[in-house]
Amino acid sequence: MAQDADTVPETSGGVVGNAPLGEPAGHWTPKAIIRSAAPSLAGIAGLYAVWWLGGAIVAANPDTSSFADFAPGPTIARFYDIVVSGEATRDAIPSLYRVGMGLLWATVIGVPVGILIGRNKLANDTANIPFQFLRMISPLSWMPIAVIAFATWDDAIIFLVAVAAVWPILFSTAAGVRRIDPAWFKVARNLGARPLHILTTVILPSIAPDILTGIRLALGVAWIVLVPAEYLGVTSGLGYAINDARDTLEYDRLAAIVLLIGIIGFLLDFALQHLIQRFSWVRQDA
Amino acid sequence: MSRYAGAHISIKDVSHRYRSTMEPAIADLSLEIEPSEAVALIGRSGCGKSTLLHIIAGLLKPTSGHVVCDGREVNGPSASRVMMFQQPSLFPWLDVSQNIALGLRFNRRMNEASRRVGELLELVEMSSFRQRNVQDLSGGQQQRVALARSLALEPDVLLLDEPFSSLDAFTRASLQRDVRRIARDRGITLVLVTHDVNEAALMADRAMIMRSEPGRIVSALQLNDVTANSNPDDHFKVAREALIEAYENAVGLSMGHASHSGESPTRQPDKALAS
Repeated sequence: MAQDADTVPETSGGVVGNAPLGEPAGHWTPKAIIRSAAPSLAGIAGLYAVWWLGGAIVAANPDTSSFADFAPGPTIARFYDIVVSGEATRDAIPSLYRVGMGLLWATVIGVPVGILIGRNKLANDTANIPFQFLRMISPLSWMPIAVIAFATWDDAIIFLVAVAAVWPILFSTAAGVRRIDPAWFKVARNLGARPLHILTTVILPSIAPDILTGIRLALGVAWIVLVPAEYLGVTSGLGYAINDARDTLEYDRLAAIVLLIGIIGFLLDFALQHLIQRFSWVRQDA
Repeated sequence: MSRYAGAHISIKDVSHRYRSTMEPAIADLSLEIEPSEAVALIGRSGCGKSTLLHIIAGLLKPTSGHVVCDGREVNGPSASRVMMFQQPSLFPWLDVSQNIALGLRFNRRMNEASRRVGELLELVEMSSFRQRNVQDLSGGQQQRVALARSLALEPDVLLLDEPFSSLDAFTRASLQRDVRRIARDRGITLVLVTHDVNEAALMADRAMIMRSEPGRIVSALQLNDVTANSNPDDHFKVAREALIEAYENAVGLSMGHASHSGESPTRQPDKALAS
């Protein structure tokens, strides 16, 4: 829990500190920091209390007391162990690689297709029904096909992550393209822009925040799909580690990995949120 | 006309329909514009003045007829014919100087950017805003940046599509004067679309009065000739009176109170044509 508690005040401090321009420096008195961080800390404390209470109930019942290691105490102790021993890193790296590659493919496919259907009505009308249909199929239901189609389990998992992640990126990109002020195209053409200029100086910069928002949503989906995808076949990654811990009845390790999954997901999302702020030209205070 | 550097524009029998079933927006319109001349196209909305300007810019292809600019037929947009729109439409992800340099970037002339941008900022009196986010600027400041962006390519022709209509009276008056001065100093041919008599009287050498259904020129007024014998201080007033009279005669419409009030453009900002 120590890590969680450390990151949260940083979150709220960072976000608020970046937003308004010209905020007087004196605004950030220790009192103000405490005041802005207090709700987050209270939320964490509440979550911890529920966890603790659940653990106590499980431990008190003789039928379930063998699962008592799910409680915060053993979990956090084990969490510390897996971080220090390097097990956490060993489990996380293959998972991060798969999610990263899946998101990369989803972006490489989703952004150009999103621009096409955002710009071209015929393309949009043609693709709309097939895309809405495909989008509603659970990515995991492609699992058997992925296993047959790809030579390695790694590639199959990357495919599943990409299938899950492509839709938020594609639709967010298309929506961003549709929102581009038509006058910007006219201004660019009037100043002698060629189609490639229009793409690089009008379309891409204006939809950069939408693409990143799409990637952020996609990351959430990808991170969720990843763990069940790793239950099958592979012998590495966080999903595999959870399954492995279950099989060896190490419930404290299982819970520690769940905690790790949550923390990594949270940090990745936090990083993307900052990236969005960095590339966003849209005024927050407007 | 040898002192002029701007381009000569020849519009020959231009007609344009937005849809084949529609009434033409412009019908058989012909007009010669001399190098460095400032011509105002004036009329109510829907008379085709903005369509004509888009055709001159090369942003719109006429259904028939053609536009020739310095002997060359207009087939598309060109760095030598730049248009200023009603809205500045600056790119909010670029700062002031990057916005000004856009045209240079599109035309592979970025090597001139550092020098030109500084000059232009000075010209439009925005030097202290070089690195500013364009979203922090007022409407008038944004339109000044748009003016600098248009001038960066050193155009022969500047086409103005009511670029000052959304500004307050004081800002508008100062921009009108500045644009007229810059165009005159550099010999740029100016074609101005407006429904504001004051703007035409202040900025144009010649005013073309247009009517709709179909869009055509019904009357022309050489404002230089009208003001030639009057006191320079009264030029604006004389030109304005003459323009209103010509407009009323041409369109057959009384402008009522509009023709008898005020003297300066700043004091009567909204004397648009009756609509």
